[in-house]
Amino acid sequence: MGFRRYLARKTFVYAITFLFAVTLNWLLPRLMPGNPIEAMIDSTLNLSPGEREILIKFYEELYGLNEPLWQQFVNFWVRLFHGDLGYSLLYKAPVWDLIKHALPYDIVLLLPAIALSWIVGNWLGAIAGKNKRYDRYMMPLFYFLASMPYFWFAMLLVYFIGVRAGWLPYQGAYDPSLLPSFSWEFIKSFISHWILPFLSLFIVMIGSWAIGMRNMIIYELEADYVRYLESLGASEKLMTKHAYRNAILPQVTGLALQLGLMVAGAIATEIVFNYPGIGILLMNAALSQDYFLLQGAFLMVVISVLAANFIIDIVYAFIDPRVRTSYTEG
Amino acid sequence: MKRYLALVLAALLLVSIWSFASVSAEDFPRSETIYTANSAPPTSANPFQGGNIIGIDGLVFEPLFMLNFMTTELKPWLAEYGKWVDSTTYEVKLREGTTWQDGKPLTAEDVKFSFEYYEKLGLKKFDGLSEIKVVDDRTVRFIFSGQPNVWVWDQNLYSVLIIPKHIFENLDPEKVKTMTFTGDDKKYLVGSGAYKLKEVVEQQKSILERNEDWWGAKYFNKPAAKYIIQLYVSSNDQAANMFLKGDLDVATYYLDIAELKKQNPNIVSWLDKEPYFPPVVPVVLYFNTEKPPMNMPAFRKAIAMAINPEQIVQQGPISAVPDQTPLGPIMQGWKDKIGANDLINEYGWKYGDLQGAMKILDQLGIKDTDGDGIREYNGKPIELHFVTCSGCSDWIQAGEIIANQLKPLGIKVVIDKGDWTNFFMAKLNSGDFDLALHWAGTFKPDPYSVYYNLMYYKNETDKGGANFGNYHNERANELLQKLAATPNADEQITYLKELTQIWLQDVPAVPVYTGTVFYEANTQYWKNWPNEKNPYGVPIFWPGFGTWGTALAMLGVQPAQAPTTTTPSGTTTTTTSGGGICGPAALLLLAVVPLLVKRRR
Repeated sequence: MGFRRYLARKTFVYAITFLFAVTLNWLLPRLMPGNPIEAMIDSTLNLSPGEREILIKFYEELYGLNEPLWQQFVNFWVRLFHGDLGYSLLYKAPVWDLIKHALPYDIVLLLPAIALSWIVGNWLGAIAGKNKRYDRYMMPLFYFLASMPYFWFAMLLVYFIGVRAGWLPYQGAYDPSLLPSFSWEFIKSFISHWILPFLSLFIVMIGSWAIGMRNMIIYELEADYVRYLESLGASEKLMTKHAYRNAILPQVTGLALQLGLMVAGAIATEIVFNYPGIGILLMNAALSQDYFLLQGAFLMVVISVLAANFIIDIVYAFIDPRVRTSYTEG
Repeated sequence: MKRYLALVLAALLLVSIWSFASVSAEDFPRSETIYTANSAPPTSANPFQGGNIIGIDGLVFEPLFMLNFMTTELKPWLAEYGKWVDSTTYEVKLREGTTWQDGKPLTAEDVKFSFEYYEKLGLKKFDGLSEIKVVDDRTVRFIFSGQPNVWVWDQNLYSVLIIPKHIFENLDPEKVKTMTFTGDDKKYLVGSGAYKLKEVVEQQKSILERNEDWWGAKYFNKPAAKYIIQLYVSSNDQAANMFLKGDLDVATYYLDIAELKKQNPNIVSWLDKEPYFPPVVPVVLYFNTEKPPMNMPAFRKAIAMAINPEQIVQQGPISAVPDQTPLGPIMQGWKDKIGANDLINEYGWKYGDLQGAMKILDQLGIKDTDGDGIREYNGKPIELHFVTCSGCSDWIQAGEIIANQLKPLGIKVVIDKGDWTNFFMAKLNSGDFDLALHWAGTFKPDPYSVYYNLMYYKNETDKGGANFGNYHNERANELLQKLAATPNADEQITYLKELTQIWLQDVPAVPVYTGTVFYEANTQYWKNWPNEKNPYGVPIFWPGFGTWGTALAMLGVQPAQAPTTTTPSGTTTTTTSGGGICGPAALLLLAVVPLLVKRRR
């Protein structure tokens, strides 16, 4: 079985998973009890007598919710392949528009946070795995960072650095008096607004990456092949290099999972810092049973998780000899 | 390798910033900009869907009349007047010189087109309206085939936005339903109002810019603010911080006004003393009037008498003490005309009259026979289920106080909580409750709608929108029907009087406190915000309430200082300072120091 067949098999599995996941995304919100349209109309307050029925009819027709469920399902797939994700009940705007404008904020915040924390965390963890003294007082800090409630930590940052010290802005993605543009003023504002949410994610994630790496390194350094190298009188550098290469593999998987969740992985951050990403959309959509926005946002999550895993499957074929063997020999 | 990675990341960052660069930078002078906020982001300017931009209705598109919800008065706007020329014909005369923002005249044709367009979209149905006749450029007649409901018609006068025929006749109504009128579609957003939509920054803010050629400038004052920016502020804490710093001028958030005032004396609200927030409509305690013993008016009255609103207001949610009618403070004008106080004295009950309440129950034969402190009815102890939603802390609190107040009367109240839609509203709609609090029936712009919502009942499907207790009284139905049909003020008062009398005698529900809406404004940059003494506008800054008086409020504010030479706005609002990088740097340093420890295995 060559690499091409390996790829074909993987692609097939991912396609099936995609169909299944998207179907589930469509179905789950609809299994939630309650009628979103009635809820929406009941919350408008200012209806004149007899207007409620008219509005319910209007919205049910508008959203196609008056059709039988199977017909809605068919419509959903037809629209999806036309690139139409529907129209949000809550925001009264096309779902794709909403996602399109929210997605860059997620990426710009999470991609650097995940990537940098992965690099730094692995580095710190590897040092901790080798250096007992450093390990003694850094690991408790990492455990503290990784296990504390994120929400609480972010609020601390907001309060102490943002509100009390006033060093950095702590809410929004840029100053309210600005419009997004490629001007120096906007970029400055954007970056200063970006630092705190980024730091909150970065610091917390360092903790868990470092813990994982440190434990793997310790395990690998105790492994037979390292002992063998040691008995052969290999240099410490060589032993570390081999241990590191083995220890990094599970971390790569972890990275893939994290990157996959990038699209909606920062709900808490976005809530605390009022950062306009998909997380907030998703939360609001869930709260108001906005079927269409939920579907759309989850679709993005599904796509990014699957894409990240797919890429990592391919990368593994190159970096992990065991995977390579499985398709060249098996 | 690491260097490349850093480069790639930096490039990515730049690219993503580039992708935001859709609009050019602009300065909004602080002294010429009103900042408001909403807890949902502005995304759609669709005037028919309500949009979620404050002022699309009222400031950009205008109705024939504006409603001042705080006084329930209609203010002629595009219309010079509107009147019933006979019992089935309503005539509207437009003001002279009304124009669209693109310079074309706004005529009677546009009015006709707009009303028809709403029906075409399926958003409204004008019962009995058979023809809309354009008499001349400025006069239009609505001709009904049968007897119209004059109150519902009044509501159409301020809820139907007049849209330009020359733009919308070229648009497919099916598409219009889901258009957001932002981006490229903004060109279709031609209103007649004092403001134009300048920009919507998706998910974050909308910017309205003053229309310098507004026709209304010669009838009303030209608005003082050049820009109205609506920000997206999701939490009360953030809103509080922004108010303190002067970054927000007006909004609708639940904030502690007294506390804010201490820190920033510029903060104002509707009242200048507790509860600060505008008391708007009574929150009523519903009885399930189909269930014994609550099917007996005397029993309901006994409960009403045992309730003491003073206590609820003191211990409970921020509010004011209501009177016995469901017509709240906003209906004061109507209440004066009806003579509500005399009616209350004559037919009403007294709140907190426990002895009187006990006497009524004793007379009904509902007594405590087994001495456990709880009265029995038909041999069973009376246990009433107060149904509410688990997030409604104000209602739960009020419910607990009511339960305590009814205990000495010998009635046990159990509080049941659940989620809003599937538990609370489901129980109310299916009649599976004994007691419940709600304002839905009272949050209405006229006394007819309040009584209709609370008292009308023909059958399970044909009943008032908030008649959860299924109160049923043929005489009330009859009065409502007569009231609906008459534009004659004297007749209206007669019917309203009798309805109020029935309400007081039958007690379909009890007002227990007056609900407030949240409202706070900052007078640092803008003054003359509407308040109790000057209720020219409505302190509700939610999207969709523009023609309810939000627009009136926005048009009435005045700059606090004389306009100064333009200062760049960025400097007044940004929080970044020179030391901005110190904090993060220190944090990073903390993490790096340990690495300087010599590596050793």
